[in-house]
Amino acid sequence: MSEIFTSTAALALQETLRTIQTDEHGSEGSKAVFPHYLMVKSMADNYVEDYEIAGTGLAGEKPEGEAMPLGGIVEGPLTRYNARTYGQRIIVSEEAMEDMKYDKVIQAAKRNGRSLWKLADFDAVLILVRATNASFVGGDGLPLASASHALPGGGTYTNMMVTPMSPSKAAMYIARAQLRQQVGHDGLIDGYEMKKVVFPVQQEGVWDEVLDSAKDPTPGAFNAVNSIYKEKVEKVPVKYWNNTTTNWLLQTDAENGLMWFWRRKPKSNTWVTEDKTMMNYGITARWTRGWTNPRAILFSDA
Amino acid sequence: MANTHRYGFRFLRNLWGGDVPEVEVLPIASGYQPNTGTPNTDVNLNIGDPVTKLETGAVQLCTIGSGDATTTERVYGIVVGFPQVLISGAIRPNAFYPGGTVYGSGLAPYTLQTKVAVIPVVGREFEVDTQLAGGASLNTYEEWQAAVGSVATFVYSPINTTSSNPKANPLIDETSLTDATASSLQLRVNGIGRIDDKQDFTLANVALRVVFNAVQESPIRTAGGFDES
Repeated sequence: MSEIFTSTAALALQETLRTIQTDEHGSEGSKAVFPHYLMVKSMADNYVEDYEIAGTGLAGEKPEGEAMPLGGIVEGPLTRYNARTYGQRIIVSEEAMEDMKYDKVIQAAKRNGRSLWKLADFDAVLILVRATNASFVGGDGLPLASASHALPGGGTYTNMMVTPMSPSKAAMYIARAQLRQQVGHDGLIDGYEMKKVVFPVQQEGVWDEVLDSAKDPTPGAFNAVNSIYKEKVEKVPVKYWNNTTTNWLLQTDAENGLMWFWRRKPKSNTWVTEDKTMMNYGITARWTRGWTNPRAILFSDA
Repeated sequence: MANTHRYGFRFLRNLWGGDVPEVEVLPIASGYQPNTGTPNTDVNLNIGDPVTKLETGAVQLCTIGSGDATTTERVYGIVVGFPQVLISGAIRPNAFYPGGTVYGSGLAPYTLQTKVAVIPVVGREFEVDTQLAGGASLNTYEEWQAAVGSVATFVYSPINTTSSNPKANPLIDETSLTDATASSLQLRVNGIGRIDDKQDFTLANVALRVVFNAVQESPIRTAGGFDES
């Protein structure tokens, strides 16, 4: 598990094998799941900050001859995204490079790519895994899913289903109603549209039924309309979300929800340690992830 | 989800910099059969296993224990390859050392010796996984961080025992972690592994960074031989 020598995969030193079994490599970036549920952007600095400002609430009545009511603004929390660096290197002896008869044995660059892109997915999914964990909070000091997110001007709002429900048409009706009455930054009802449903893969079948059927998917009610069908909600099964089989969330059209920032996309480099004639294959990337606006989701902690 | 187990002691870095670890090639005695001790299981020697030098010039699988009791509990190096093993009557590189490989007697003849490449542990940091879940007092990131500086022993939990390549599977024994000043065990914890929080701290196979505490050829040792007298 350190350097790769000729002995590390000694059976590949002669062409006697029919096949090499190993994990698939290549195009790892295009297989990544996180871009389907995170808003992927780039950043140009060591850290970036998102700032919430709320105002001005409802206007008021102006009695004749009196001054107009005053509107004001108030600041909310600051959310900071700090870029962190991730990477891996593989060291291969020159002899192993020369003697291995099968490309699939070492493929250092591809293995590095797989490791880093897998890490990206594992890192991203922590947002979902820790959605209700009070030890992992956003700018407002609360976890992603909370019934008491603070409004800048006072008061709270929730981005959790009041009664957690398993995937169903009824759950979606209730969720849609809750989203349409979701409040904006100033605490006034704004309303948001459901765009995606993000869920562990165990729920894939039932979501197919709930979302893809033009008619009511409930047995015995096939002549009724499936009101959710017209919403064209996109399904995002997340295979890495494995601390639950029952939780799920709706993503809304609220901006700056679940975010991913590349400070630098994966970059490979190679170098040789001359005195040992050892080849080094490295890969690094810099990224950060999190969320700014919790209204971007509605979480069912079922 | 269970933490992904990566085998053995994995080289992480030279404590004083440098790209690539130093490697030494040493012999294994003819007919040597590695055994994990407790449990009493015959295994092969594999990449990532800790080995001890003997005064015969050969190396063997390091014995589990406090690190103080016998010379063979002090680690010399971590296996990184087997450049020469007698396979089907002739020598070639191999990915493991088949236990009990006979090439002669003792270290003779040197031309047919089993040879193992090791990374000497002094001055280097490795990663290794924990054996079991840490329990109520050792199941958070911060609690594992607080294990830094503690010493511990390693244990073997043999795997692949029904295959042609049974492995010793060295792990850090999290139950032995201690800050007691009277203890000088085999390993010292330097921190959480580089996988950091992409692992479940409530389960087994938490990756930790360690240095070897009870070692052979300690820089402060002045007497000859490997015993501690």
